Amino acid sequence: MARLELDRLVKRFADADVVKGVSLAVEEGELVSLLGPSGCGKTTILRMIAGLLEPSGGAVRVAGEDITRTIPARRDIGLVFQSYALFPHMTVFENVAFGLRRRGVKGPDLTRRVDEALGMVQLGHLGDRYPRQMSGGQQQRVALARAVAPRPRLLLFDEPLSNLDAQLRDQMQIELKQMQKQLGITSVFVTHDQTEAMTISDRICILADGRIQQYATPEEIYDRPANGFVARFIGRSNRYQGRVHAPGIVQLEGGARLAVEDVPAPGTAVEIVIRHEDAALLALPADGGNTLSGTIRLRSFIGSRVQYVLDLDGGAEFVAEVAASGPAGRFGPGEKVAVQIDAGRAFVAPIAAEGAAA
Amino acid sequence: MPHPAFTEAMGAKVQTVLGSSVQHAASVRAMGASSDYDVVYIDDSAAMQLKVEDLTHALDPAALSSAPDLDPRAFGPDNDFVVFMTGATAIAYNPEMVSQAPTSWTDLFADDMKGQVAIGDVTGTSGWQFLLAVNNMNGGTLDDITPGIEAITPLAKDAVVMYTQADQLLALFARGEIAMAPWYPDRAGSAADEGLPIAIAYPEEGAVGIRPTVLIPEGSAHKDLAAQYIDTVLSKPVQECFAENKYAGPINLKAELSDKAAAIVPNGVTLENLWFIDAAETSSRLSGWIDRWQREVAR
Amino acid sequence: MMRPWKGVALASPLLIILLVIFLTPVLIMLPTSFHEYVPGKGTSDAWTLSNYTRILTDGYYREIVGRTLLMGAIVTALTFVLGYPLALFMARTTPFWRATATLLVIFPLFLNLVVRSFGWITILANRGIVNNFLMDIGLIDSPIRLLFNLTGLVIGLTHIYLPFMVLMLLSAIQNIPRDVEQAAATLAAGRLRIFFTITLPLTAPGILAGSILVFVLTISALVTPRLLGGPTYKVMATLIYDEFMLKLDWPSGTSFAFILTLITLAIIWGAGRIARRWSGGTA
Repeated sequence: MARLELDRLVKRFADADVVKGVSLAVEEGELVSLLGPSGCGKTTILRMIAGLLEPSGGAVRVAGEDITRTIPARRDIGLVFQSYALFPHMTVFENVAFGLRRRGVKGPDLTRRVDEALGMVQLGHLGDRYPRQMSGGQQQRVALARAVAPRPRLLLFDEPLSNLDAQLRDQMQIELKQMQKQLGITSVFVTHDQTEAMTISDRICILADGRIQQYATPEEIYDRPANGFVARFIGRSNRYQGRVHAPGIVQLEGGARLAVEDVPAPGTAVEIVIRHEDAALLALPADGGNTLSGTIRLRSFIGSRVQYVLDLDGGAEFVAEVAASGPAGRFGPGEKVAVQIDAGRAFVAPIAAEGAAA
Repeated sequence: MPHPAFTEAMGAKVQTVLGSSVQHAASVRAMGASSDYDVVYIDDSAAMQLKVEDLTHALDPAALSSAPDLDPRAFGPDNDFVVFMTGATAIAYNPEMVSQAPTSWTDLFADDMKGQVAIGDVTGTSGWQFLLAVNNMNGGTLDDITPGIEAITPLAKDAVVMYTQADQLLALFARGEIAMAPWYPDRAGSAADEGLPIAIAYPEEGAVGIRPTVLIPEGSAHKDLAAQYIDTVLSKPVQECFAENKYAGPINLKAELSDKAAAIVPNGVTLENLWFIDAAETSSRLSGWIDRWQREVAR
Repeated sequence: MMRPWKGVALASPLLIILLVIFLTPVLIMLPTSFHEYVPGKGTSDAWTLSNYTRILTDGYYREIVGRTLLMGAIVTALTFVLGYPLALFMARTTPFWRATATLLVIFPLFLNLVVRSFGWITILANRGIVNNFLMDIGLIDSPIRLLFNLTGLVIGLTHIYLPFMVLMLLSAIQNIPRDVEQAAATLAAGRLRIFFTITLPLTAPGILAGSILVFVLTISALVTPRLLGGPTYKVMATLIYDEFMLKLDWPSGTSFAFILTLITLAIIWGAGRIARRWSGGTA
């Protein structure tokens, strides 16, 4: 168990830079997700930590020890693959025993530790099976048991749950987090699924185009996106072009004005990002300011919440999600309503400065 | 092959299928009563074999215009096949490596020839004929080839190659890998014409005669035409042509030879000295000789 | 999951045609092997088992059966030992080198078998390239016999059948997911350990298929043994050829051919069982 440190890690392939100087520290026992769209470099970073790819520059350190050029076999890691990557010609027991044997564990000790690892993933009774005789979920549990059995210093996950169906995935996320906390092994988890990242991570590192966009707790990333990319990437949101009209005031392209915190200098072209769940819908006439007005076009009931699609007076579309139980949950199509924006939850980013992260 | 002359005279086209005697024998046997072949060139023991199996059609000497001019030994029993040339197994040698022309089969066994001799495998004519010649010299008979087998076994161990295809010898002579081998005068003569260092010598014990034959398979659909074709093959001009160009010893005694051809093909004394082994005797024993050779000489 | 019999039913028209084409001539020849051949007379009408019992009792025939199997085993082993590193290289190198190597491996297959065998004759003959070189550098005084014995045959056949082994192994190696080997690497296995515990067992089906192919091709090869083995080094195929074509003894030739076929089938069956056990049932 140890602290993992990436120091200005770079990976250059023949035709492109995939990782462009990533520095990151994962504290002892912490689970950090690398989250980003495909091609952002997250899997490349993971493989460099595992030693399956050689960095073009920078360093990987575990517990202060530089392992940048160490072969995978000597890194004391466990890696769980998206494809499970079980050994098809070995029984479940032998799969799990593989890493333990390499570390010189044998005899009753080996049996005990394999059983223990299989017990952790509720597969204690299936040691004699071959992988092909098991379901995908069971195979992934075996892969998990195989990776943790030797109690490595570092656990790495390469989109391990993306081949499972939604229900099983939700369940596995919880189990995985519990197990990681129980073992206290420093972990890095690659995913492109933000819900998954939110569910299991202590901290999330959002990547785009080979660079870190934001590295923070799930709450912080959700509440205070560091830039336009993060704001757009996390959650579902409405996005508008506009311009800063005056300090604290932006003007949308349709002419409507909103009060927003943290805006650039007046005159700057900006993008305004408002999450679906960050607007309140009020019946007209509405009290209080900072509203846009529009007409409800569609109403969808999604359990505890209701989603509305509105046509704003300026012509743009706005999607809002509100609690089904409140008064706002009872509007019908064709009704004219006011959309009230919380100045602290609308995010504004200058357009020009964001070319790289788009 | 006398095809152009025959085609011109008869207006019939001749199609040739190449193969060894045994391949042809196997084909004739396989095709039985309806043969694709009308004329088969085949060695005399294989011809004898086909005759025994009733697969040949008897010739009528009276209907062949060349018949009176032929060596009287030319026709096989019941006229089922006819010899069309006289060949031999003699000694081919490299005049650049051997100062004096060999005069006896024993020259092949000389100490200074060790590792410079090739012999033919028993499955080839030169192989079993050489075996019989050596056997004869050492007091054996057709029914007892043990003396021949015992004499050849050490020679075979020291031989550069036990050849199965006559053409293998061409490369061996060309590379100077061998100085001497039992071989056929006709093949040696053609090779010398190509510029290879090969000459032919007839052993004083007598070379072994080879009598390639032509026959008509019983299943032939054009027996008359086939007989006419065979008559052409046996005619004086075709026989002379064979002798001058391919060094085939004429079976037609009217044929006249140039000096060059006379030095190579069996004629005069060398023809008189030839040992002709009865094809009926060989064909029934060859299989046994092959078995012993494979087990004792070639093993 | 498709039931096995469905596959058979789908393949049956082709299967029937293949059975007719392959089995009919075999069955026609079967009775021939139970008659006696009398030299100078032909095949007799009487029935006999002597053609089969002779192969078991005659030391000469037993030796030829034995050397044929030995030759098959040596050639199979050599093509495997030479072919595996080559296939591994081809599977793991860049596409450019893979294409180049594949071309080099396949290229000899475009050449006629006789030409390739003759090539070996000029290389291995007493005055051939190898012997001349060894004599020129003074390593040997007189030529070593490389032709018309086991050495020459093994060299020639190994060269001729290597491509088959390499191509079979290549596809087997390419079928191994890289993840599986990398998983072993992250579990503290070194390169050699990964090769012997993961790569090699997982290519067992390919090794089996390649070995059966090479073994069967080797023990039934005719042209190369005739040219490189000659009359002094006979194997079953050349023996069968001799019985048919030189001695005209079809009954013996047929019985040898059936025994060769039986040996082949037995070996395929046995190898399949062994490989299934070795690869934990994935083969």
